[in-house]
Amino acid sequence: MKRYVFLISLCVSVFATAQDADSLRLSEVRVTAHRKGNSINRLALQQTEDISRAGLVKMACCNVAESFQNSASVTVGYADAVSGARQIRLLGLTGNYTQLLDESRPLARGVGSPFMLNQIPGSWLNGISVSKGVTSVAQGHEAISGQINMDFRKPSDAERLFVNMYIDSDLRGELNLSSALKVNRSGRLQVVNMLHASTDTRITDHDMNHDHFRDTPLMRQLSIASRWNYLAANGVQIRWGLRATTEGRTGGMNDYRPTSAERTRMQRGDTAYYGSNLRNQNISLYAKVGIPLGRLLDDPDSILDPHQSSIAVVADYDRFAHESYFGRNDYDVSEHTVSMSALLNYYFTYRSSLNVGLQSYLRYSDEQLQNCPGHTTATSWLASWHAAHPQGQLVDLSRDEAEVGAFAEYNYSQSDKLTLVAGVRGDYNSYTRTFYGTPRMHVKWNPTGRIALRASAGLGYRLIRPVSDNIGILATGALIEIPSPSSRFDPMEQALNLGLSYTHTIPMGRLGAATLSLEYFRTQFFNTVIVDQEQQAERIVMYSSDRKSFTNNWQADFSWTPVERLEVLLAFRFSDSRYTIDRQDGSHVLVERPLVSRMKGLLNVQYATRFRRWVFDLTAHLNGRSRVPTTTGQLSDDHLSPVYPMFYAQVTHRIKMCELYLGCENIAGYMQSDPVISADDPMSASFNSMNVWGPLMGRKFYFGLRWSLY
Amino acid sequence: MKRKNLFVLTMLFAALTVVLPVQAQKTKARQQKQLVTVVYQTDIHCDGCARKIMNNVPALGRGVEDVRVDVPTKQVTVTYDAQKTGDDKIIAGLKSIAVNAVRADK
Repeated sequence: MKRYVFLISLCVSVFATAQDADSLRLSEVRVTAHRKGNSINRLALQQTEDISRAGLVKMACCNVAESFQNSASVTVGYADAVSGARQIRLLGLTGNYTQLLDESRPLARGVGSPFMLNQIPGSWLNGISVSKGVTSVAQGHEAISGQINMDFRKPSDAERLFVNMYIDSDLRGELNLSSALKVNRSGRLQVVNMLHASTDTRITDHDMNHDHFRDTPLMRQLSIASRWNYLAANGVQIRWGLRATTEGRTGGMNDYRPTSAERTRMQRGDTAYYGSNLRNQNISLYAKVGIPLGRLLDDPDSILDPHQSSIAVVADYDRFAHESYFGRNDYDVSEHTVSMSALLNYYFTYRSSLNVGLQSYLRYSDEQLQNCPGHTTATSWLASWHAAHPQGQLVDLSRDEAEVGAFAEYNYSQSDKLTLVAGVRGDYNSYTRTFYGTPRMHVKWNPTGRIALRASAGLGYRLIRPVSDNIGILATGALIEIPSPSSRFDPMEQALNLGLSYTHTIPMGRLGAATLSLEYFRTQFFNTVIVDQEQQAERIVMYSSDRKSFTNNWQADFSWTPVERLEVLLAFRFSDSRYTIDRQDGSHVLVERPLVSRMKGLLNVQYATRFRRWVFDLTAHLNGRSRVPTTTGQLSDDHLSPVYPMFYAQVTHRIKMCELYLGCENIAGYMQSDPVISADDPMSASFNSMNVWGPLMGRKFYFGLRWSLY
Repeated sequence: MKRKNLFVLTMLFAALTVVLPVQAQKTKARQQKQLVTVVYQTDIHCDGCARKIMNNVPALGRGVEDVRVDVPTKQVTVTYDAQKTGDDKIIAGLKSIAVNAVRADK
């Protein structure tokens, strides 16, 4: 039996850990106090960037979407300039192509998924893992560009109470509480309860670019979560929990307040009263039962943990309700999703296993677009729909959907040097009435202990939601052509993703190793749903296309600790993302995907004094050009956004159990000057706020504290 | 004007990157300390407990120079500057993170 010796020396360095290498397992090497904020995971099968809790607290990180400022892999943008909803991009594609996981459990992909990253507070998480390329077939067919796995605070965490308070120069206040408790004396039943409350309290509106529109909406959010864990003496684990969120955003013109009187004036066409109000409410329940089977398999030559076969049953229920209006466009959704999974992971030997499972979901959605009921001043796009659809000023996008699937995945590894995973799944979707086959394969080879080579290839499918996936289209005055279900529109996007990566740990300096990572990913679409605002002026057209559509993504990351407690992270990413759009004359043109930056450079420097009593973080971004689409219908009128830098800084001071932090975002105060087109005439068809390529907010200072009780 | 501001910010950023660690090293060298090493017997039982201590060394108070945790023997070895702190403060600091400790030599 291996001895567990855990000897850590902080005498030499906070980062240099003295360990008895002969007697230490790898799981014990992961000491959170010394983990880097952002790092490439050398053990993961896929190219994975880990953001630890140390990384999450490098900046304000109010929610998950804002947690990627120290990552070149993920770019954070906005869905539109009115709602201010954050949107991520991974491998040159919007976050819609990235699957979200809650501790390896896929989160329901419904109408609510584009809002999910905005709703989960960063302080609820212990870490985030960003996996690139296609992922395991066990988690569905939807991850095309990658996965974001959120590692929530755990019932087994040591902190009995954690308090985080935050306020920024925009007078946005935030409170986060978390409490992990052992419920019974044996400690087998544990719970972690979490709460988040935030609101904008500012009296004056921020309008730094003087377009009479708020730079950011007034936001308020209340979220709670409760996660339970029961570990029986025989090894059976039962986990269950709930998460509930209510969120509101009020955007639009500076003086707009979401009262019925002002809304009525807006609906009547008063151009001084363009406003938007958005309300999301969702509740998620889940239960997981895991039963170990057979004996524990161990290999003395392996640095990995022992393995054991297991079966698991997972059940989820999600309820999502959304009510919003953008000017005179009303959008309401009510959705219920139930999903079930049964999984068997069977180990033939320590290095050979088969993972099989059955999965299904059932989803009922009531989804409606409406244009100011009771008023005759319908905007042009709904007037057009009204002419073609006699049911009135209502576009009913409701649908019921069911999917049943099965998968099998074989995992083989050879002496920790070579790992091969090959999987296939088949799914039948009742909405498209089509069967989809999804083969995927991953290889990881460690020719030496310092080098890891990875390759992945596989198909991915994603069923689009025309409006919620592109919520920014409602913040325009354009005529929107939503294809009807009976048209030749294929709502299931299909793509092949190929990826190669090379990670090298290089001995450098007296403090240990630097890590260099090089990667390339290509996503080749076979069917793309295109939201085209360039075909005609003042019109947004949606269609599916099997013409050329791809992204190429190159990235290099280098991290190093040159001096005691000084971390340097340098990263560059280049993207070439293109698709073919249809022109009004029947021709087709291959163009750059709009608003995808061609390049991003990142430098993060962190210096900590001994025991991290003081931590200084400095981050610089250089954001490359992106194509800003034309709104005139003439492709020659498109243009490139400028290259712009962003700077961030934060100082953290630890006093006993209390941590105080003071920081500044966007130090240079760089802002996109024209995020809202035709801001002076928001009821016109030329009004457009969905082409956001840069920051909407200027310089922002913030201050906060974290306090823990054990 | 904007370019000039950006240039100044970039230079400031670079200067801080170099100055901060160098200054910290110099400060360290100047200090004269009265170091004492004490072994405490505790009730820790797992790697999670060890991580908890290592994550919260500032909770032990000022003057702590080195902390070592040995899970099998349940011993925590602390080297501290006797001019700034003492046994009672270290034990109270460990208590604040739910670790009961007594001096191993008592």
